Amino acid sequence: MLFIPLLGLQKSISSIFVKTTEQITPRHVLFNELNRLQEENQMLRIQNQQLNELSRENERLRTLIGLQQRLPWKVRLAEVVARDPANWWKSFTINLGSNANIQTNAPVINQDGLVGVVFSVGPFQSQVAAVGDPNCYISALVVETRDQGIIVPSTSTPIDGNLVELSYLPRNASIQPGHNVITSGLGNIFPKGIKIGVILDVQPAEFGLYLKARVKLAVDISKLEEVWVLQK
Amino acid sequence: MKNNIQFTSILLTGFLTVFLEATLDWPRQFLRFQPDILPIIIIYAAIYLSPLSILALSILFGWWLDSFSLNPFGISAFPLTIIGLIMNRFHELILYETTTGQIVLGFFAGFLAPVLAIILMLGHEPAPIVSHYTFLYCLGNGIICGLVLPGIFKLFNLLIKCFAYPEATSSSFRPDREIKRGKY
Repeated sequence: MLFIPLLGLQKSISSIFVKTTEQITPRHVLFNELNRLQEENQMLRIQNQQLNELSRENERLRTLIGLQQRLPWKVRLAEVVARDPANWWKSFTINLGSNANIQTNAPVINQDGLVGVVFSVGPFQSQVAAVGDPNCYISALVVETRDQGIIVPSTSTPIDGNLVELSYLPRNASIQPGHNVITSGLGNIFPKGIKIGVILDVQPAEFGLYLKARVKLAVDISKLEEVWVLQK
Repeated sequence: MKNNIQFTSILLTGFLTVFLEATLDWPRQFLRFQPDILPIIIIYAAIYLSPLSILALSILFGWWLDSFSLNPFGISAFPLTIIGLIMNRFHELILYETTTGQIVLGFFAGFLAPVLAIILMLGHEPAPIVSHYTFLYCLGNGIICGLVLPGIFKLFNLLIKCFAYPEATSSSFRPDREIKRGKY
């Protein structure tokens, strides 16, 4: 609460800087950017139509086989306003709190994949525990082999904040480097199918009781500026 | 008056330091860790202020830092208080006015504060991410604090010179050399 004026001041200064940069950008650069965005917009509209059709088909099939309908998630855009000054946690603060109906355990994503989970909520800000933080354990699924494990913090290489461990994998799992890891949907906190990252290597753990794999996160946690908070 | 200025300037510097540590990202990108210079601000406070003021500053700094962090609330206050009170107890025995003394003091404070915080949190569930890289971080923080502490001394001394009354110059009068006149 005490730091809100300073955070506001920082935002105003950065917006002045952004506006000044926009003013001095040449017209041809802006037109090129506009054309590129229009093309991208058309592509995304077509993809959106296809996905809507698939979603309707999925709903119809789920009804046919008697499965419960999935509830749609609402998303809210939030800005990253501060990071954890302590080096032994991986967390950051966003500018939405209970005033925006943010609740604890709400999943946080961006366009590249899973970012983390809301750990605590204040009136105007919330603390997010990022993937790889000891407060954020995630049930994960390897897309190619359908093997399931749990994403835990990587203690072997904490200097690279974008590496985590996929642990408790079955010892007969045939996981290869390059396989994709997504959320499994177990635990009912994260929706199924959000991309987490890519397998880097696999090795046996605890005298061969299970396998563990190093996973390179799809999201660069250290360079986050904006995130989406999912709300049920 | 001088102590009030010192207390206020240390309090404001600590407040700004916590804010900058939470919002400035380039030190983290450059060094691969976020340096924490609050222990050396407490070292400066411990030399010039009373134990009660040190306690108040340590608690406030710790709370502010923990408000941005997943640390158990208030845990960062303990290392700062311990370092501050030890320094206050022994400050007359330490050569804090020399640059070398300041560098050594800064190194120990910057190294000890994260070590103490981690030791306090080992019993906490979930435990923080601790490995041999944590030792490297503590060492790096110690080096940075050691290099910054002489600058902190210079900055605060300059601030105090600007706002406090000038120190009274010592008189050349010596009572033992006084020539007394009159009847004896």
